[in-house]
Amino acid sequence: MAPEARTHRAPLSALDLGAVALGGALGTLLRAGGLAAGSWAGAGVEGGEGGVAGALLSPSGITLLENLLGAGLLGLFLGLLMANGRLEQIIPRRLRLLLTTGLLGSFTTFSALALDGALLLGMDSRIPGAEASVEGAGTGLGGWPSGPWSGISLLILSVGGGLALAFAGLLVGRRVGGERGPLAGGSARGPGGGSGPTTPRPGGEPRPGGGPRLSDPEEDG
Amino acid sequence: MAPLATMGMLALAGGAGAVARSLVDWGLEAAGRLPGGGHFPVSTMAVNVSGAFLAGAVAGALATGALSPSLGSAASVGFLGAFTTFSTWMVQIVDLWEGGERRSALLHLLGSLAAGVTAAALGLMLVVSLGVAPLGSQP
Repeated sequence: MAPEARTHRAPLSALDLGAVALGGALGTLLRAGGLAAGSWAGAGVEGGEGGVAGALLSPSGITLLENLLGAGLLGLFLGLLMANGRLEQIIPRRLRLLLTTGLLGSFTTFSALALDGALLLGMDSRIPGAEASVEGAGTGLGGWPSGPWSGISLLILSVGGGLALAFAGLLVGRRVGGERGPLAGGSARGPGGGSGPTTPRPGGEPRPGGGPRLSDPEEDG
Repeated sequence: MAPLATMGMLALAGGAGAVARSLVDWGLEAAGRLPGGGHFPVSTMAVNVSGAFLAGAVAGALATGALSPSLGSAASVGFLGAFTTFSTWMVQIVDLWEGGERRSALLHLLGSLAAGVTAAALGLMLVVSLGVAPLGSQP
């Protein structure tokens, strides 16, 4: 590996990591708060037929809703940043780290979805007693229907909805933040510079052509 | 545990999970660079699949009683919930697709999903079949 490959990305400073930690703590508390609210509200539904409400208020359902919300919001925020260079100067880099990598990254989760999927698909069926783990793990399936088709539904709803919302968020963000959008103002970008190859990569990776990134410290000057 | 202590544990674990994800992302940045000049988000796939494996292991440890419910919740809802991410994964797939890197987008989508679900099952099976006993207990 060439030496510059290692130094290409600016090292994360202690303050950067502090911003990520703060955002991560907030995102986790919000996610856990949603789970708690779901189980509180779902307790009333439990006695009845449950149905869609019971499924959505179960931990699996709440995680699905939180993941969809987070994917849409991250798309929206990154879309705004992509379309409007001024926002990158207005919103300090560490605040962006706090909101994206920290808060929205931690508000959404993959581990619970993967575990729920594995359990619903019956991949644990050979393990006696494994089902007992679900409740205690905080990923209890609760009112979410059981069975492999329910697992496939959960995975498809998560991924299909997540992709649709991330795409919609990016689209809306770019439109609102774009040259003609309400946030445009006196953008520092030249004509036609509102989109195209200079868009920052989600997750901070540069596009092949090179361009500003969310995690590029140089951008802030 | 008191609600405030539970919240404090979750916040600490979640903050640590997010920091760990950032460090993996930083450490694997070079590994994601493709020969053609493109970039594959290896780090997101790595945290999600390894986090899913560990979530399975924690669920197994809870089933065998090796882990107390409050510690298990801090580990799975707190640390692993924050360590793994859904929003970044989704936005990266859309971005790869829009950038014309459609094979990478599909690999990121289906590869993470299949590997994640399998890893969670493996983590669970491993811990349960090893019969990890509660800490301090004699076999």
